[in-house]
Amino acid sequence: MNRQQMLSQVEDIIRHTLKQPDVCIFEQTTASDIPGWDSLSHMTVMVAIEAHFNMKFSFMEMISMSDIGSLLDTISSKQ
Amino acid sequence: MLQQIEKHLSSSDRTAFVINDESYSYLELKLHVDRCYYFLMQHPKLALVGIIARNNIQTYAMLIATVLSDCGYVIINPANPPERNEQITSESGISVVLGCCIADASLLPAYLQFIALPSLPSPPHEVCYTHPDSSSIAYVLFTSGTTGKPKGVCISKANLEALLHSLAKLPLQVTQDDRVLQMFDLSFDGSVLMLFMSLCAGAAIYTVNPDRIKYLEIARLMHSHKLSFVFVVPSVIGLLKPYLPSILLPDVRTFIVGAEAVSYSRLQSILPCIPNASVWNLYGPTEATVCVMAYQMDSNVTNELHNGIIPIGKPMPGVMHLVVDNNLAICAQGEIGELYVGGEQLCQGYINAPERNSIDFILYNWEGQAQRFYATGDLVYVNEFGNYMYCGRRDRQVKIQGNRIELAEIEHHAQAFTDCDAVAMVNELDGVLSLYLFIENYTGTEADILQHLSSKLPAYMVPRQIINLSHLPKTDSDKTDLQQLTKELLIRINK
Repeated sequence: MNRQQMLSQVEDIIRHTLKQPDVCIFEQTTASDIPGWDSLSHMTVMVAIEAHFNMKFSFMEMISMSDIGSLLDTISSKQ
Repeated sequence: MLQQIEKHLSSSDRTAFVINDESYSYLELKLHVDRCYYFLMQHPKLALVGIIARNNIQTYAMLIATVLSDCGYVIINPANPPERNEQITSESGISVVLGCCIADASLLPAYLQFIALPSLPSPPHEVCYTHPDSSSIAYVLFTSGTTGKPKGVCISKANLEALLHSLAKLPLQVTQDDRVLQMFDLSFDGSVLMLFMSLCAGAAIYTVNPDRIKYLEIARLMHSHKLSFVFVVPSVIGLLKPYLPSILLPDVRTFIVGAEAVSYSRLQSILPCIPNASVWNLYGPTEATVCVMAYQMDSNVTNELHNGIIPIGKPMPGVMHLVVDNNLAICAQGEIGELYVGGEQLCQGYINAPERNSIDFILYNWEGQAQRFYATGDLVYVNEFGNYMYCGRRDRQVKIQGNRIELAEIEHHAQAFTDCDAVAMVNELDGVLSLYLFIENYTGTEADILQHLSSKLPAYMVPRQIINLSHLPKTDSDKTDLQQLTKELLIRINK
């Protein structure tokens, strides 16, 4: 899977879990750019991403992800 | 106590703040403080100014400058709906608002004068801080109000000094070697505690970037910067729960929780992560300057739980305290009643609210003298160890992630918009309390209501979900059946 495909899948997950069907994400997008992405919904988003890519993020990975780009980096490194 | 801050500003090249991983020394901080302080000295008639809160050194410098002067501050949160901020500026009667950049002027109504800190001239000479008038305002914080309008709690310099003096008598000291977490929004009074305790000690304050997921940013700061003095709301522990087994924070020497009821099971889950910390629960209403009771957890805690909630502790030095029944008679030890608090930390009342003040603040005989007390609305009892135990509210006020919320304020705005009955409720989801709103037979969309509430209320007061029912369940006496609604809510959440 290339990075663009991965981005597209993460975008679908975010649209679905946050009920924001029109939201678009980019490498630089952060949670604060997306309406409804707060502490509680962040857990839901990350659990959905973990389930989709069949992986589990560690504490160190969770605290080091600052934007979508770093999320994609983490997913790539675990595949 | 506040004079200690002047000493550190003038002489210390130690770190004062770390903001977005950038360090600022006390001497660097002083340059910004002086610029604002000099402006305030040139305008002695300003009793209160607005400050547009950003996570930057200028904002913190403006707070410090006002507290060191005869002026006080009112926080204007850029994330609030404009209407909320207009209510706050109008209620507080301010005419001048300070900010960090010219663009922030667009957040304000045109009748307010906006001044950007960088545009102010540097003082032409060394600034000498004069002692502020103790009766002058330190800050006005706005809390949720039942009538649909926020209430402004007016805290004086004397109230703030009383808090700092009282804390200094507890074994809960910040030292100049501490690295302190400041996780609180500046419109929440937990920020006052962390800022001024730390600045008086000359410690380093680490602020939380509001653009990142808060609980993870808190964890990152605690871990990466080896923070030693930490105050968090209990929901942060709940959110971190999946990761707690892999977190070890041996540098934390003081761990404070508060601003919400603290369950032992939640607190217990983080104890292995902070093996070297003394653990405290701080309790207090904004009206009595942040905190009035303190509990240092010890091995006896499991014998002192009430419905799984740990004690709120004993009154802090200088705090007057009563537990009274519905007839204002003193309750016996072990008997549940409402907590009233008084003393030098007690504010003069809400700004421009004489009626509310006459209800919430009363005179009561204390050691032979009539003294002012604040009716907290919190139901408590004193246990056999002399600790106060929190048992709930006498009204429908709730706390979500430390924020005080009157459910009636949410209902007021929902009903005004929909012309339908509305009931706001809270329930725990994934370890965190969330807000829900039931609405009766509304013909519009849930998105309409959410959009309206978002235009009136801060984000933490906007319900997570709207539930439209054809009829709200009623009791035999024709009141809304809250028990039935709670059952309905649980069914909806678990679907």
